[in-house]
Amino acid sequence: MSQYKLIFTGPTGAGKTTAIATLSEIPVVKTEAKSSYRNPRHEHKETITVGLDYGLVKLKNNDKIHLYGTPGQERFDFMWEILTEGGLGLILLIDNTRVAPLEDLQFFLKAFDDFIKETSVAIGVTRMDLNHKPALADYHRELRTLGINPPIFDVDARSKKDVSLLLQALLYSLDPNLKVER
Amino acid sequence: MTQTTNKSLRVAAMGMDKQTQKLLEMVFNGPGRGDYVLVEQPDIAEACIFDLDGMDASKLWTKYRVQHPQLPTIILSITLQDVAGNLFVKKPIEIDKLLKSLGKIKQMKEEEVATGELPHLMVKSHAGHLSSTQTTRTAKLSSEIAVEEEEEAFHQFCGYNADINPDRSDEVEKIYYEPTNYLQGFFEKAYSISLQLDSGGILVEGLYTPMILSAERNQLFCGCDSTENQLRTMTLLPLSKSSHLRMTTLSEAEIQQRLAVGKLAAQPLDSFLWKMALWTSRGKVPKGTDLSKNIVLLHWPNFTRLIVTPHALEISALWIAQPQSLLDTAKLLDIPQRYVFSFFSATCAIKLAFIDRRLDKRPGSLTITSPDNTKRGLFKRLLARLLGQE
Ligand SMILES: Nc1nc2c(ncn2[C@@H]2O[C@H](COP(=O)(O)OP(=O)(O)O)[C@@H](O)[C@H]2O)c(=O)[nH]1
Ligand SMILES: [Mg+2]
Repeated sequence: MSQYKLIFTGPTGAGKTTAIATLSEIPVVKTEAKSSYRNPRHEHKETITVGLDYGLVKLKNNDKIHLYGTPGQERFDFMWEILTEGGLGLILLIDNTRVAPLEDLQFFLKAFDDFIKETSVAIGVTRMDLNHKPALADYHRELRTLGINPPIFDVDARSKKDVSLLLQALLYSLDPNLKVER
Repeated sequence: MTQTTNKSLRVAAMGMDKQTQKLLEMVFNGPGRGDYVLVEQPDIAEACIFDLDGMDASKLWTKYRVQHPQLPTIILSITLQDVAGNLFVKKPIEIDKLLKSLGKIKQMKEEEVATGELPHLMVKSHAGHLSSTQTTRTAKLSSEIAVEEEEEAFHQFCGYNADINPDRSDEVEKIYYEPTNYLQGFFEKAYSISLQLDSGGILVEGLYTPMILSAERNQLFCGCDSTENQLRTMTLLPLSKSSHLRMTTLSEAEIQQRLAVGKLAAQPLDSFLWKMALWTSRGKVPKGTDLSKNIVLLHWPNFTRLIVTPHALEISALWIAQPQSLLDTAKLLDIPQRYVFSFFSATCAIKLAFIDRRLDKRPGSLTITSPDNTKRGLFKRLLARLLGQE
């Protein structure tokens, strides 16, 4: 039996908790992660605790996939490196009703840059039903200037089908040659 | 209606709404011309097409069967109608299938004439009491119905074509279609023009309902009473030169005006064009597509809002990571060619993919480079799980 993790990130309200809940076999729980870091403004090391969303998918052979949702607050971004270590890939959700979704996109892609280079990212733009601008075409333009071409879909985090397609796209991005035997 | 030639089969249409009637007329004046002719009354018909979804259809049917117990009949319906002795064509009407069914009746008629049976024997029998002609027909037709019903879910999008051998030109010919011969081509042209506009859109008239395309908004507006079934049937019908389709550009103000007046329903334009391309191509690719040059896929399609045909995600991932030709894609992923072809046709229709004409594909070893194969087993299991197969 092996343990793996998938990371869900994005600003608060983007649908991380909801998306994890649509996939998870257990009710989503808040879990705590502790980390010590050197606060540049202080002499000594600090230990801080952040709340993460946690869900679980168990596979037939007892492999476990842990689903972690990062807290949205930017002040925890130092945590992300530790959190992503050994992760399979990244699901990034962007809330299209926020003030500047394209800036959110840039911010999160940059923050997870190393992890994305090592693995892959799939992006879901949520709440497009409430706000259709920026359009996906605007996101594509932004991604082009960043020089990446990941899957990016219009996603309703409440829709199991949408979240599942996003995750499938992430898996195929990681390895296009995943024939599912029937 | 149309001039009757001697060998045209006379067909009556019963129980139909105006739109379905109109569609039939288009079929009879288009691909069915010369072989079949529509007549007004079943009394003078040699066969009948009966719409079982119409108003008072079941009452009408009972009456019809008493009056014309022997008339070979094609039943149209959204749901399967297994009425012994009748052919069935499921709605949305596929022209191919309708013509095939008509063809069977025509052939049967000709055989009956050849064997001396009287095709026009109007025996006034009670329902349930079948003449010997009718019994033979019943047996013949019920086996046909079983075959017709073996429809797999994606047939209407990807067809049934078997893989072709690219070295045989006769086989290669079969996988091409000409989008401009169909409604698809007309709409793609309207889409192209709309893309050039800074604002406003294109008004399309001459269909059963007016439609407005706006590339800028990624929206298509059409009359609320139009149904997917009607549209699908229209897409399968080759456009004749006499079709009265027109397109006009509309300013933003004119669009607003029309939206305010008529009840128009909006749908995403890309999903519409995508679906139309799948319906029309059914596993084929636009004429002139080079099967051995690489495909450029600009970015991933918005799969959550599009029809996801079999293997579409794999193909996208491959083309983004490692551009391939259509033939090599099928080979590499070990999937039927028709799934690669239909996906390509759909992505072309929304201008997301095109053939890279710049260079010839370098012959090399055909492998998919994937960075880390150790997790493949895990990914497969997770995928199977997502697809509900575990
Ligand atoms: N209308 C709409 N609501 C959404 C969509 N996606 C998520 N939501 C809702 O947005 C709210 C915030 O989601 P949540 O999962 O708590 O976001 P988180 O802060 O990223 O964990 C919830 O009420 C969701 O039901 C969407 O696409 N459309
Ligand atoms: Mg949350």
